[in-house]
Amino acid sequence: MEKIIKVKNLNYITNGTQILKDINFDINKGEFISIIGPNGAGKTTLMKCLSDNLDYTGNIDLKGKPIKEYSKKEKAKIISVVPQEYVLPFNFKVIDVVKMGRNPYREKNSIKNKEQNKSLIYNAMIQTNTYELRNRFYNSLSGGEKQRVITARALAQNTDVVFLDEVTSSLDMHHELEIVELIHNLNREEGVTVVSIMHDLNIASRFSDRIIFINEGKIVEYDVPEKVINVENLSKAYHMEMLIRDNKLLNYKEIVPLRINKNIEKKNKKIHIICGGGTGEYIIEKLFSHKYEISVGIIHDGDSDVRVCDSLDIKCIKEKPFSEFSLKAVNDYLEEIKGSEIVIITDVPFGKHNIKNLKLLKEFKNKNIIILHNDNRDFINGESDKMIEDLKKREKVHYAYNLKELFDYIDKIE
Amino acid sequence: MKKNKLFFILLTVIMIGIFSVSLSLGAAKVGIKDIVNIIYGKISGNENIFSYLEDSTVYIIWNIRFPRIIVSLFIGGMLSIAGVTYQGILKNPMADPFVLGISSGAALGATIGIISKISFNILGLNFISIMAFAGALLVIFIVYNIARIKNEIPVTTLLLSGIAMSQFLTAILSTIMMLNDRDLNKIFFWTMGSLSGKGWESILNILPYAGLGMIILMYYAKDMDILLLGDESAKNLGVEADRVKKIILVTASVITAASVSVSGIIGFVGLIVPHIVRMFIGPKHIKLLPLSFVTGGGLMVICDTIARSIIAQEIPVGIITAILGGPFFIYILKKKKAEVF
Repeated sequence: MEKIIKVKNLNYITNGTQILKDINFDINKGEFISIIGPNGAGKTTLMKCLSDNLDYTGNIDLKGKPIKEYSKKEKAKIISVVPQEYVLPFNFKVIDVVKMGRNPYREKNSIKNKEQNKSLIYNAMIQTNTYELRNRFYNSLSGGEKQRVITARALAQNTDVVFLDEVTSSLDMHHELEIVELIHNLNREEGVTVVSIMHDLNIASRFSDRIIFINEGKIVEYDVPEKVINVENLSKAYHMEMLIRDNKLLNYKEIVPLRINKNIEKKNKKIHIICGGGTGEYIIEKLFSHKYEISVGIIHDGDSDVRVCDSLDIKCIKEKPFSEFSLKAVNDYLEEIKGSEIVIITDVPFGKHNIKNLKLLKEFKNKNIIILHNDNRDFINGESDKMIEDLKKREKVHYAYNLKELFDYIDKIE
Repeated sequence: MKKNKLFFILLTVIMIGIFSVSLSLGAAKVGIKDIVNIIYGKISGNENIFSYLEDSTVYIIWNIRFPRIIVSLFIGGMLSIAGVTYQGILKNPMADPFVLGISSGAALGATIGIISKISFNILGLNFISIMAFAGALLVIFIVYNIARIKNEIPVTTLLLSGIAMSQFLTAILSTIMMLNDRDLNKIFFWTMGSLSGKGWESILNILPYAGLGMIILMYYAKDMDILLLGDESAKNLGVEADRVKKIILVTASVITAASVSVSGIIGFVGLIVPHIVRMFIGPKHIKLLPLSFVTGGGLMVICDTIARSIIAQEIPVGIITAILGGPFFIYILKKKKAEVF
């Protein structure tokens, strides 16, 4: 495959600080590359080096020739750059801003191929949905519209390579997706090579062929999204906890940011949670973040609560779907209950199989149990309601009507 | 296109009107018909057409008023295109031809020329003018080099070093004025600008700067548009930003220095004319530059006519430009600001 950009031993130092450290990578023709990394990692600096706007050391080859040897005009015929939208000091009309994209093809103040020129400008405006705006003043547009106009200008440049510098950060969800899909189509249908700094990791994960992940001026990983997007890589660089799961609908690794790493002391209180059907997600996640030791179960595999446990690496006693709890599961369960200071029963509904969780609790007369209220949880002819009522009579059982009460009880039990 | 044509015709009519009125006004009133005859006769070489007029009338029109009007036109035009350039390159609507300390450099040069009492002429330029020109260029050179970082000229450092230099030189100027109170009046007049006594040789002095300057700026008109997007965007669109910026900044500075050396410091024209023209035709330099030249020139002719004819004594034209230009500009700004900024 043809390598359109080759970077070798790229270093960039400014004011005595080394911003980029020994960067090496290649980009193939027609690839969609995302650059990700935390703020200050050097993403924008890297892009400025790639577009030859900074004085770096090392080699950057564009189409087999050092990029420094290109004149600005030659270079602008191969690479176009879409910056973040900005305000102009004087107010141009939208059409005039888009026309500036044709500047590299201007010779002595005139453009040679007038027809082609016109159609490229027109197409760029149609593709970006800016044709209706053509006679409006640029500065009077909204942020999203400005971004689309600037994108149209880059498209009018008709280049092999398009660079995007966090273009979606000022856009709402709709316009973010609109721009990214537009660029993605350009990449897939016209073979344009795309290099984009991505602010949104999920967008990067979903659309990229490969991801350059940089941190502290160095490339941490450069690979396909499935390899780059993992908790170990990201949580270290971004200093936060996150959850990564397969988005089956759109087929990509989805990142769910949880919280920034705080130094919460590990609690030596162990809590067991009886849940299911998604009733445990929030409670599990919150207690986990407060560094409680947690176990969950017994719960049927495939339940969304199981998935949360798996992604947070929490002990979870599972049983095959729609089946009776096995002896092994029951033994594990009893073991966990024994070792727990508190047992939480979420507002999970009870049926033929999971009622066993409640039944087994009978043995533990002296346990702290917190039950979350639910009027409509009995799917077994009143059997579970009766059990709950029995439990409520005990001294160490607390009945919480909402989540706040539930967490208050946890704090109270010392 | 139709709108442009109309604008062009309107402008031509207005300019002819301004010229005629300006020629006829002054201490001696001369009729429009006589003026047309004199000018047509002089240009076509047929002096019989105006032989019925007194020689002094012909002299006033052809050797005093007409060249002075042409000089006004050029000075106004040059200051305006310099203003267009500075506002564009510095991406700052408050920039004017004097923003980089050119005026204080020229003023200090002229002041030294005035107090030194040296007097000679080279090609119609007297010592004071030469000193002003030299002072202006020297200051620009210093300011550029203070601001320059390697090959780049960042806008902020350029503006700041211009302002700092300006303040410094003004302080020196004030000190000189204080110590030389005999020349106070002359220095004051010079710093307020005047076109009094400018004849044909003054036109020859500024014509090359105006002509060459305009050609260079027009050549880079499209690049100047794109530079408004910022240096980096301009480079990404194929503009050799650093080189182009240098060329047009130097060009605008030389244009300014040349006009200041002839007329003294005339403020306000270079600031407001570009804005007024931009309000009507937009920020594209290919139109902005020539139309600013004409508009600035016309405005200067009007102001100078008022300066020399409103009272018996000549008023420095810089005062008139500020008194008329200020309120007019504010009025237009109020009406059209939404489209421009």
